[in-house]
Amino acid sequence: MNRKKQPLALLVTRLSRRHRLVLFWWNLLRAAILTFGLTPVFLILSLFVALPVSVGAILGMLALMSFFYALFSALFSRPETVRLLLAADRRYKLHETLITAWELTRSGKHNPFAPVVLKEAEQAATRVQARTVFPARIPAPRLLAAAVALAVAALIGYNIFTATRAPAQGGIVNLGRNLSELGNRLAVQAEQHDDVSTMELARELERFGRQLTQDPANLASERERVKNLIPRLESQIKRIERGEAAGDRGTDKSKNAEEELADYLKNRLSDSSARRTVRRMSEQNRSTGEILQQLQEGDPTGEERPQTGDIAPDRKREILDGEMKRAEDSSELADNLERARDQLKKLRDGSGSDSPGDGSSPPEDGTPSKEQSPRIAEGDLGGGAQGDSKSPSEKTPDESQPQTSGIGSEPAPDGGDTREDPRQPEKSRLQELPKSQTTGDVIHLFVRELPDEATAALTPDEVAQRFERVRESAIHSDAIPPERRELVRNYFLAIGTGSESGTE
Amino acid sequence: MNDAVDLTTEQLEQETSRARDQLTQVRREIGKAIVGHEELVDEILVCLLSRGHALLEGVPGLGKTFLIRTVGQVLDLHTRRIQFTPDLMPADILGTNVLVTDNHGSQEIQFQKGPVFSQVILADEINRATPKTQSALLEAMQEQRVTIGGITYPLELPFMVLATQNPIEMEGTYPLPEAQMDRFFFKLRVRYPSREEMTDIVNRTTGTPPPQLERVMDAPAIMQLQQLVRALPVAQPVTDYVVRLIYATHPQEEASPEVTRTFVRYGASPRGAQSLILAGKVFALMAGRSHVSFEDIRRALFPALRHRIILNFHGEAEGMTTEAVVTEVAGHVKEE
Repeated sequence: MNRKKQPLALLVTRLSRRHRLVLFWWNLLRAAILTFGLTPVFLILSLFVALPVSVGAILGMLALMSFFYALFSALFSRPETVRLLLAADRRYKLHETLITAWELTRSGKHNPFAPVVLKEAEQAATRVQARTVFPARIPAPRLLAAAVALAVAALIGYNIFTATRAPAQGGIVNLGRNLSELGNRLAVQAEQHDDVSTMELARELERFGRQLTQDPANLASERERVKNLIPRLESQIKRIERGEAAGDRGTDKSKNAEEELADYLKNRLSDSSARRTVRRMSEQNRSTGEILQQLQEGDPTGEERPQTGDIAPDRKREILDGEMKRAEDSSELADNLERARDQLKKLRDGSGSDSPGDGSSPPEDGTPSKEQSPRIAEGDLGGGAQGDSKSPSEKTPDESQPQTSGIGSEPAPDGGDTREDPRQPEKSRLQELPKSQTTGDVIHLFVRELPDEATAALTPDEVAQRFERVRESAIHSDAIPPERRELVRNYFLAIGTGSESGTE
Repeated sequence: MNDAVDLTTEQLEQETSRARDQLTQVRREIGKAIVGHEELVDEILVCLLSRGHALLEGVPGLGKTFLIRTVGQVLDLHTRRIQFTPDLMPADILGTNVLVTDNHGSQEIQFQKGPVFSQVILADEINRATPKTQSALLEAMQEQRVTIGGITYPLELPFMVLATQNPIEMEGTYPLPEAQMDRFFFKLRVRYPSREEMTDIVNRTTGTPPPQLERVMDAPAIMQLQQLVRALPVAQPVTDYVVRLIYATHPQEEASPEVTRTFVRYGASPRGAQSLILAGKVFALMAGRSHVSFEDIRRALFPALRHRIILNFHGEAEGMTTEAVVTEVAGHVKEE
C-alpha cells in the first residue's frame, strides 16, 4: 500500500462523512441564525430610527452575504484534517491511531513503526466501514439542498429589502404627520400667549411636517432644514420652560394694560382719542415684541444663535426695564388722560373759568411770549402725557415748579386751593384773555401768566405740539357737548401756541 | 536482536507483540511476590525501559526493598542495596583504588568497584547521606559511567537506581537539591496497602516460603525493549500536548492555570517533557500499541511532574501539593 495515499484513504471514512454532515447542518443553522436574527433587528431599528433606503439595503445585503458565506462553508469547505482525525480518534477510541499515521506520512521521516501504525489505522478505518467523503462532484442531495437554500436566501433577501424600505418611509410619514400636528397645537398655544416667536416656529414646523407627509422620500434634501429647526426648537422650549418669553410676556402685560386703557378711554373719552392711544400703544408693543423676537432668534447680524438660546442677562434686564418703563408710561398716560378728561368736564360744565371765583384771577399782564419764556416748563395739561415720567417727589425743585399756567388751575383768586397735588404750580398772576381773540359768547377767560424765572425741560415747539394734540382730542371727546365745542376751540386758540397766536 | 530500525514491518509487529507479552509476564511474576502495587510495578518498569531512575517515597516497612529485589530477580538483573548514612563516602559507592599484591609479590594499584557497579541499585534513604555522596551517585546515574583517578569505568547496562527517602523523618537528613531531583525520571509514592492487601501480605510472609520467581527477561531483552521504545512514533498533536502541559506548570506563562500562577515557583524542566514522552511510549508498548496516545501521557503525568514542580512559599504555607497542581494543569490543558 502506498504510504502517501493511505492516510487519505483513512479520511474517506464514514465517520468523516458524519463529521462533515454535522458541519454542513451546523453551517446551515448558522446561516439561519444570521439571517433571521438580523431581520428583526432591522425591523426594530426602523421603528425608532428612520433608516434611509440605502442603509436598509446595505444591511439586507450583509445578511444575504452572511447566508451565502455559511452556505458555501456548508457545501464546499473541508474541515481541517488534523482536527478531523483527532475527533475521529477520540470518537472511536482509536488511541490517536489515525493522527499518528497521518503524521508519519506527512513528516516524510523514516520510522520503523510507520507501516505498523498505518496498518493499525487502516484496520481501524475498516472497522468503521470507510466510504468516500470527498467526491469529485457534489451529490444530488447536496445540490438539491443548495438550490432550496438559494431560493430561501433570495426570498429572505427580498423580504429584508422591502421590510427595511417600507418601515423607513412609513416612519417618515408618521414623523411628518406628528410634526404637523405638533406645529398646529403649538401655534394655537403660542397665539393664545401672544408668543410670536414660538408661533412662527410652530408654523414652520407645521409646514415642514406637511411636506414630509406629502413627500417622504425628499427627507434627504431637507436635512439642513431639520438641522436648523432642532436647535431653534430646543432653545424655544428652554426659553418657555424658564419663563423667559420676555418679549411676549411683556407684550401680554402691555396688552392687558392696553386693553384696560382702551376700555377706559372708550367709556370716558372720545372714540378717536381712544383709538389713537390704542394704536400708539399697539405700535409700541409690536416694536417691543419684534425686538425681543430678534434677540431670541439670533443676532441681528444673522449669526447663528448659540444652543443655549438665552438672551444675555444684561440685555434681558435692559429689555425688562424698558418694558416696565413703558408700562409705567402707559399708566401715567392714562392718568394724564384722566386729568385731561376732568379738565374738559369742567370746561363742559362751565365750572372752570366761567366764574372768576373758581380761583382764576384775572390776568394782569398780556399773553405769554416766547421771548419772555424761551423754554416753557411742562404743566399739568398735556405735559405729563408724553413727557417726563418722574414722580413729583423725584422731580428737582426747579422741575416741580412749573412756570406755565395750567388750564383751569383751580386756585381761587383768594388763594384757596382745594387740591393737594404736590405738583401744584406756584401761584401766578391771572391774565384775562383779550376779547378780540375770541368768537361767540363773551366769556371771560383767564390764564396764568408765566412766572418770572423758570427752567424748562421742553422746548416751546414740543409744548405746542402736545398742546395741539390734547386740544383736538379734548374738543372731539364725548364729554364736551357739540354746541360747546366751538367755544372750547376758541378757548384753545386763544391760549394757543406762539405760532398760532402769531398767525392770528 | 537487530536494531528496531532495521526490522521489517512484520518483525516490528512481532517485536511489539512480544514485548507486550513479556511485560505482562513480568508484571504477573512480580505480582506473585508483591501484593498490590501494580501501578508502582508498572512505573518501575517504565523507568527501566526508559533508561531512567526512580525515587521512591514512602514510610518504612512498605516493601520497597523487597520490591526492588523482586524486580531484579524477575528481570535477571544484578541488584545491590546501599544504605545511605551521614558518614557514607563517595568511594563507598563508586569504589576506590587499592594496592594489591599478587602471588608473585608484585604490587599494583587495582580499582575496587563499589556497589554502584550493579544493574539495579537500591539507594536506601538517599537523603541521609551528605550532598557530596549524593552527587557521586547522581553523576553515575546521569552519565552511566564512573571516573576515578582519571580512568572512566562504564557501568553495567541496563543501569537503574531506585532511591528511597522517608518523608516523615527529615531530621538529620540532607534533602536532595532540586537539580538532583530533576535527574530522577519518576518520583513514585509507595502507598500504604489496603486491608485486603494487608491480609494477603500477612498470609504470604508468615506462612510457607513464597513461591520461587521465574526469570522472565534478561538484560539484553531489556535493552532491546529500550531501543524499541525509543523508536515508537509520537504524533505531533501529542507532542504539542506535552509541551503545553509543561508550559502550563510555569507561573510566568499566561496560559497557565491560576493555581500555577499562585502557588508555583518553578515549573517543570525539559526533562519533564522528555519523561512524559518516553513514559508514554512505554505505556503504549505495554498496551501493545505502536504509537503514543494522549492517555499514555496522562498516565505519566504525576510520576513525571510531581518532583519537577517547586512550590513557592505561599503554596507551602497553604499546604498545596504538587499533585494538586498537576491535577489542575491536566484539567486546564486541552488535548486539541
